[in-house]
Amino acid sequence: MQSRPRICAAVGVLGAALLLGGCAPDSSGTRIEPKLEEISEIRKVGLYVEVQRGFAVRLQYFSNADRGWLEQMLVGSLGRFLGSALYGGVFGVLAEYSPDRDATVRLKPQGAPVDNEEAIGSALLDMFRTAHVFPAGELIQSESLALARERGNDALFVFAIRRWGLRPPLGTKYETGDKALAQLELNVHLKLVSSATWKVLWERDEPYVDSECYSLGDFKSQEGLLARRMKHALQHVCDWTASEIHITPYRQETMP
Amino acid sequence: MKLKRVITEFVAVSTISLLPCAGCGSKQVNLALDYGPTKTGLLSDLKPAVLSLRVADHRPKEQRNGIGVQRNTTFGTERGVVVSKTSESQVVYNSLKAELERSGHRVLESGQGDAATTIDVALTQFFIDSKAADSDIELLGSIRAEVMTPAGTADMPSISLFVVESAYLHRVRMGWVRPVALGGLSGAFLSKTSKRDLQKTMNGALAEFVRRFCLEPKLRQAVVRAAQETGTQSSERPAIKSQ
Repeated sequence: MQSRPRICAAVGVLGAALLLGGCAPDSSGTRIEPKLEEISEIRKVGLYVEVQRGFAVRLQYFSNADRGWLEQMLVGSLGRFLGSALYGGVFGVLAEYSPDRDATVRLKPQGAPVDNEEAIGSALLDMFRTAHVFPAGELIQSESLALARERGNDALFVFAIRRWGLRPPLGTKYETGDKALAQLELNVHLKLVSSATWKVLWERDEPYVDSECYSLGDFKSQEGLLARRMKHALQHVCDWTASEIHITPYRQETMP
Repeated sequence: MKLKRVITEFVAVSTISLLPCAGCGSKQVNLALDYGPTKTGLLSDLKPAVLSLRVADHRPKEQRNGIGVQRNTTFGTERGVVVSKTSESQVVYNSLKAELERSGHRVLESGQGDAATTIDVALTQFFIDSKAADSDIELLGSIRAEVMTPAGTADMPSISLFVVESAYLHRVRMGWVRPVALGGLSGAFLSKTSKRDLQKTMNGALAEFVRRFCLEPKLRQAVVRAAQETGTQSSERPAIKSQ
């Protein structure tokens, strides 16, 4: 009889663990719709760029579909099943898709011109100027709204790169070495905050996958290719930003 | 004898239950993709126009059989081919039409009526990809199309060609929160993407595609031009007297 509460507790813990671990999805897209009326009043913006995770090549991808059926059954599925059971599901996942540290180190020097906040910030300010996104802007070194206001900025534009690097192209199988195909990917968090009211005027998570596909060997051998693709990606994000915050139909939806 | 029987039954049941996990139970996953237009319409600030919309499938042949694969990520095996119940070009056509109509514009199929402007959409990518990322599964829906609209002036007409692309990232969380002992087994059984996840990702990519299409400055110029021509045509056309 005493074992009944214990069983109930065990079932409860199991249920809670499954719920906590299995759910909680996270998606990209618009978090806060642009408040166009307030955005149109911005005369000068402070741009803060943050690279949260540096350049990484995420090409170490192994699929059981690439293995023979016997190996797939024995080594792949059964091995991973046992591996998952023993190591909390992490074993199987890490074995599949993890950063290729060798390739990252080899390509790092090529990414250097665009792998720092200042270079990205300067490129973005030029793009904003050309696309007439904001009348004026300056690069600032801190996310502090008070500092942005002190320097005469009406708003702070946060451009946080959550991840950037190379990934396998959509739907392709991984090939080893320099033949491996790769596309540039960029995940950016964009946030525009009023420095006067501290109100978020627009917030969005933007995933970008380059339309061009190259081999890893191309990125190694062609000097400046990675930097060119990164600038191309930044230009896209800049153009989309201009479209999102400068076109008026949202006004009707965002107005109370 | 009894123990031997129990062991035999256990092994048989385990093997049978492992087969679907190992990918032998692979099947086709049918997604019902749809788009709900925005409340007021993304192009509702422009004067009403009559437009003709054409969507053609220009994807490579090998991509037309399915829009991706569903992976059982912990095992790495492919569980099934992901397909759309309605053809992809029709899904895109219906979505764009719904948003344009919500914005107050009239959309005609090609060859139906006399629209002032024809918007040609050539679909070049419609894909969902699943990759393991850290301890999660990352689903990426991607749609890309080349769009052709008339541009220039009445005296100097030209064609405007631009690319509309969208990506939608949906991360299905799997790992770290679970206790190791429980997480191992639950991870093994649960770490696969469900049909609901795939559907959400592709519908998200579709919504982003429509949004980007409507916000594209060249498309908006084409709608403005169509509205002007629609106005000119209607003023030129003699009024039909009621009998």
